[in-house]
Amino acid sequence: MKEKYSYIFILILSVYSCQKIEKDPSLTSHFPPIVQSFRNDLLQEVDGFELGKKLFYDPILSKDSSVSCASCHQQQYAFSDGTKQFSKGIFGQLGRRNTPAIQNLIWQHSFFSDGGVAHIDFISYSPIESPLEMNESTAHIIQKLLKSAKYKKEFQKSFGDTIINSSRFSQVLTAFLKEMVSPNSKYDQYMRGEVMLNDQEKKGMVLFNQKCATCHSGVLQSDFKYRNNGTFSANPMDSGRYRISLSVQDIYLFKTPSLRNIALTAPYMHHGHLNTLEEVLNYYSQSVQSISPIDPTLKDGIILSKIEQTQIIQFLNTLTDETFLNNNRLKQ
Amino acid sequence: MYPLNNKNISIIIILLTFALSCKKEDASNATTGSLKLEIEHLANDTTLSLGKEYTNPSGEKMIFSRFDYYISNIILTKIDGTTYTVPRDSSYHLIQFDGLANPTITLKNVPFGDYNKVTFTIGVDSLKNTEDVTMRTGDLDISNGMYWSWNSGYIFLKAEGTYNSDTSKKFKYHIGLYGNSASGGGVNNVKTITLASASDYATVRSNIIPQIHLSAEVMELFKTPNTFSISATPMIMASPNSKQIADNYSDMFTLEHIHN
Repeated sequence: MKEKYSYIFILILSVYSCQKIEKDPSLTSHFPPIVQSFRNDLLQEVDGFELGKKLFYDPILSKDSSVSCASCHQQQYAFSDGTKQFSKGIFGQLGRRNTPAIQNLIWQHSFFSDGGVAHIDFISYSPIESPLEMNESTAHIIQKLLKSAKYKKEFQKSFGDTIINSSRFSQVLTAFLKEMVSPNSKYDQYMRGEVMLNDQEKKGMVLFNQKCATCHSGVLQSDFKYRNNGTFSANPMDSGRYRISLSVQDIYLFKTPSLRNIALTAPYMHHGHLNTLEEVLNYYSQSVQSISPIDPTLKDGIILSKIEQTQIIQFLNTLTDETFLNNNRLKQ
Repeated sequence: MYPLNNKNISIIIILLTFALSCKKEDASNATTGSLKLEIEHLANDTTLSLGKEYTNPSGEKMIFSRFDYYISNIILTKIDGTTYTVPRDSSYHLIQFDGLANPTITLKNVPFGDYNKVTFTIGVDSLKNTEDVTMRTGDLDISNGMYWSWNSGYIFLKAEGTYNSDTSKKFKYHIGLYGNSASGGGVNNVKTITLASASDYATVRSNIIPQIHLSAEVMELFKTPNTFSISATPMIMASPNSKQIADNYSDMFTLEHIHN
């Protein structure tokens, strides 16, 4: 009798683990409202997830077919580029800003550290057309796809005919990108009442809410606003948000990022010059006071003792989501 | 059974009349036709040629290799002041000058009438710049090379070439920016202009497709109100000084004449 129940339990467990975790709305019920909107305001997209994934992992998107999206966005690092300060694009060129993670995109209102792109459908064109990254033109990509029997068949499956254009290219990439959802870190499970945080993690969370959550607020640890946290000083040539808005008050402002999976996305800041979370907290505690101009909330720094820093880092580690990092559905 | 008496003949005639009049395909029920906008490109009042050397208003020798721009949001005004607005789904046109036949935009479903004014936008308005990707097809396709991938938005006008009689000296003017800035400091280069004919008007009829012949004087890029030197500023893209060029080119069009 007991054995029968064990089998049933295992069966239920295995069914649950096969569920598309990134699509389960109960897992993100504690998230803020979705920000990105789509055709007819529905999140029902064209059936393009598999095709979008193929494109994500295919170096055909680069001029000499050497660099794919996945080259610099690796799942094990929450789709950032691991320990590299700058990623290597085509012809071995280095980028100019640290590669951000790709996660939870539909809850964000803008992309890139200067917010140059506001809609998920238009993200891919930036690395594709950047001379330092994939150095390719959209027109040429469409031509390459039209020459591929494999892709013609895939587009036929998604759209019902073999027309391939930039609009459809966007739609299928979005179908994949929007499902890079990270909803199951220890922190998420705690927020859903499924697990408890340990003593250090709890203390770290309290400290984090007191000292960091002015900017890194809410369930995604960011209000996504543009701020000058002094890291422009690592590269004063990069004017940040100003380059997009051309508003002088935006000089040296960069987007406040989410801190999800932060343990995996070193090095830190738009310039990638801080290698560890300890260095980041030291920076806020000791260095930021001597930088000008600076956001007014940071002019006196965020003073943290070594113990407090350790506790905050314990809390930040609870933002790691193994389910997301190992999600087979997002793998090639 | 049915004698051909007067009553029955009358009934037959009435029925036939109804039948015949219902069968008639009424062509005179059409109320719309077509109108063409033809654009001739000039450099210093002569026909523009790519690859040909000209002297610009700043006295600089220069050659155009590219002159592309968007025309959109077209409105036609009749002599009685009423207007016809071309629907958004057919109102965005990318003009890519190639030195061959004059670019011509054919507007369909234009209500019959006499039109003496045309209004249009040089560039792409802010609403279209933020519309869903499914609307970015045809002339609005991202792959036309008229879109900033790093700063989402269309390039309204792209003028490229060389100057100082030196093929290594390149100029590039990519003019865009539709005023999108959270801090409100955004540059807005969307220009709307109206051209009117003093005495002529375009008569759209079932059997007349009029042509409104416009000219675009490309040297206006470099003057009125800003006298612009290429050698001082050979590159302009998404920057505040793009406003100078946009302010300059907003008067580059003239309504030359109308053919009916």
